[in-house]
Amino acid sequence: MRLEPGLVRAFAEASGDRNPLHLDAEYARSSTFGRPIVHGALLAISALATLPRERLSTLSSVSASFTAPVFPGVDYSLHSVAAAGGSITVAAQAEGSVVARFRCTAPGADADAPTESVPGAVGRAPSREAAVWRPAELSAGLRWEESYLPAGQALRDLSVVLGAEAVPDRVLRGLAWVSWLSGMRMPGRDGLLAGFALSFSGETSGAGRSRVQVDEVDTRTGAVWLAGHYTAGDGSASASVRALLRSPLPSPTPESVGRHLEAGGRLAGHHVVVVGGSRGWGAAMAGALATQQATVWVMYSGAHRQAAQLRASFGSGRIRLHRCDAASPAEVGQLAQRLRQEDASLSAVVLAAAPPLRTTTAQPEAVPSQLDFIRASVALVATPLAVLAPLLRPREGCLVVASSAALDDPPPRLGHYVAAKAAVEGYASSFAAEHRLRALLVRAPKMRTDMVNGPTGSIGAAPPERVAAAATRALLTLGDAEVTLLRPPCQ
Amino acid sequence: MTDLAGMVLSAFEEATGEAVDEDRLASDDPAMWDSITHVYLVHLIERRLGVQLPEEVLTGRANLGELVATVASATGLG
Repeated sequence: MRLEPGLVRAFAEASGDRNPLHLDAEYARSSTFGRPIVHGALLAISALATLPRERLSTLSSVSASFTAPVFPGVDYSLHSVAAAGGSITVAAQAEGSVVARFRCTAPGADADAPTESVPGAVGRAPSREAAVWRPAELSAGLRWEESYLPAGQALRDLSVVLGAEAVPDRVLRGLAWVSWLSGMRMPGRDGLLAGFALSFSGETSGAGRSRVQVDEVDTRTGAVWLAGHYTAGDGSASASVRALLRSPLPSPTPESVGRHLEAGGRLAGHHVVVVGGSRGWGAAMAGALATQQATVWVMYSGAHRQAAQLRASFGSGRIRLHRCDAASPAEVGQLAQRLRQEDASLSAVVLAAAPPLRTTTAQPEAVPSQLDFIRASVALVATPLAVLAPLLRPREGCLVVASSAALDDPPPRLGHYVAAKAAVEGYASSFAAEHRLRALLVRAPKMRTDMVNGPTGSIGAAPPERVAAAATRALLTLGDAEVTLLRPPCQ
Repeated sequence: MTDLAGMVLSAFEEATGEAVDEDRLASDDPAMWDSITHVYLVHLIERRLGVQLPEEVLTGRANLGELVATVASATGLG
């Protein structure tokens, strides 16, 4: 089974769930996924297509647990198995791992979906834009009511394409509603649907109305639990939904950098390239170097909003933007040409770019994507070095490499990440020896960046500005040794 | 199997939709267990125990057996 981008767009239009995480490549790039993901409810419709017709016609509830993102254009397999109490469980798998499970029950079977309705609440007008919530705005008891009408025929047409024509309209509408609710209303733009339990009944009062309340909020993780009720012309649905609100991470500013590094002028007249400098630690390094009066050339590929924000914060005189694919020699070469044209003497290259990171498993099917990750990681170092090294002065030029404390204490399910960082360290060290450059390998602790902006990502994580400050201080006092290893503390 | 272990297994089943037995306590296969699932699992455990567990329970995980031990240590339950 494969859900192509066209199907994702079709579901977005039919359901109204136009969350940018599904449709906007640049927005999705700044998420932990690095690219758009498929609606969980769309995957649910595909999963239901594997059920016998007679089961679908009597379907009374569907519950879902999502444990990994589903990407457009990637092959998945669906396996159904009879479960206890007369229900059927359908598991979606990719690379040998289950990414979602759906439990489908008929009347009389054990169901885990709610049946009570949500009391009426304040009316709100629907919007085509996903709602944006700050964590402090969420609270248990928050409730609202609004109209919701999916494009029924479009959903029906989509179900036919998916081979799910036997899925009843009320089920399609219920799934579309859950998707729209979590993706557009609560948690909205910055949310992630983690699971739901949906039940269907024949109640028809208040057609096209959605009533929702927030049952619980976990401020440590951004986890949100919702209860909702939706009525349409020929039936209704009740749902309990669990989702996560991801807090967008702020870009570094002179103030946030200044909390960890005193401004100075030791890099006045120096030019530094930061590869991957629009977000995360790369952006923090760009800001830190800018506060030392360096002219910082920020290479970035997709996060234009963040790059522009960085330049606005630190000034266009200090931050020069260059949008390109760091793995493309031709595109990096254009930056080299700009540097030559400006007669810029390059003092250092900061290598902070990395591909999006996902956990993996020890399954054989997962090995190809693990190797792809390692290759992409090395390419984002090797290509810029190959192109920019001639601009660095021997014995003076410096490479600053974003490595990880994970090399000292490898975590589970991230073997490809540890291998990539080891490869990057080794490559840069050898390159430095060959070209008589100095290399500063920064084994950074867990930092609060988009790469780990999941439910527990910020717990125990260091602000990237602090790690950038440590790296900048080390750069300013770097001795003649070819390779220096820096382990900035987490606290 | 202790009551706490049974409760954790039951919570895992609810969090993942996967039917599990006592053997799962020692399994190191984290295939169904990413951070999102783990957050929900910890929430279910907290709700069933009526306590809030320390943050390290949210960030550290190995297998279910070790999670049971961590919860037991944090709560004094066995």
